[in-house]
Amino acid sequence: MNLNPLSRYKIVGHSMEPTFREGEVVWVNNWAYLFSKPRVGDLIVFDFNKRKLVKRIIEIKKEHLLVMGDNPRDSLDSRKFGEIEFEQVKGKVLLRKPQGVYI
Amino acid sequence: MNLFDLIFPVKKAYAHCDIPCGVYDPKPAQMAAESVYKMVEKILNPTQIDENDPASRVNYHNNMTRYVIVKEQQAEICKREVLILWTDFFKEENLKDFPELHDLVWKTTKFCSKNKREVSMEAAKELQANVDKVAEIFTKVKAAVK
Repeated sequence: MNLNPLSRYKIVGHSMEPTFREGEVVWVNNWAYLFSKPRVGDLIVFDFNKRKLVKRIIEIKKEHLLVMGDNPRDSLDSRKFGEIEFEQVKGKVLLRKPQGVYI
Repeated sequence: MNLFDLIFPVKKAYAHCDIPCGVYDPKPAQMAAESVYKMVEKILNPTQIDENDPASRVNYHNNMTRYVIVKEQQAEICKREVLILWTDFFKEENLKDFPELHDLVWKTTKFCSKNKREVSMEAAKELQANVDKVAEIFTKVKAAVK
């Protein structure tokens, strides 16, 4: 478990467009799934090949999840690597600033 | 580095793949073509309306509308997926080995439109057959690259 409840991640790549653009910084709730279960539609950060990937949950099968990028044309996800273990999930991406509002 | 950055360092979350971007596959087009075929089959073989049951008529129209919507959507998906393969995956040099490619893609996408306009088993079968031919060329091109 991560002692820090929140983490910041910078998005690298295009598989989550238009939801997340490359270079965008998002906040992740590391404790999101301590007391509640993942739900279809959640945006998650998870461990994959020594990296952290960000994808959307499209299906839940007991302790396994199927994930997919919002931009399936340019995304390596469960269509290719199959299910991921719940243990691989690091946290849930929190809502970020509304689209079109730049600070 | 300020305290904020120290507590919340920015890490990287990869929203792409370990392999070069642009993973192509004819499967989505084939699945869409098959879906079009299934919808045409359902439209042409509807469940009969029970005149004594008002719900039966409502269900009939509801189901029929859904079949038409799915047929329309899947034909559009099929067209898009085939065009993506055509414009992004296939290269000019592939035309040497497969000179029929341009014509095949043109006919395939035409069949997508035909299946939108019409309800025809023949057109649906033709669409599937053409998409399969595109997939066949795709497989050969990919095998040659490896």
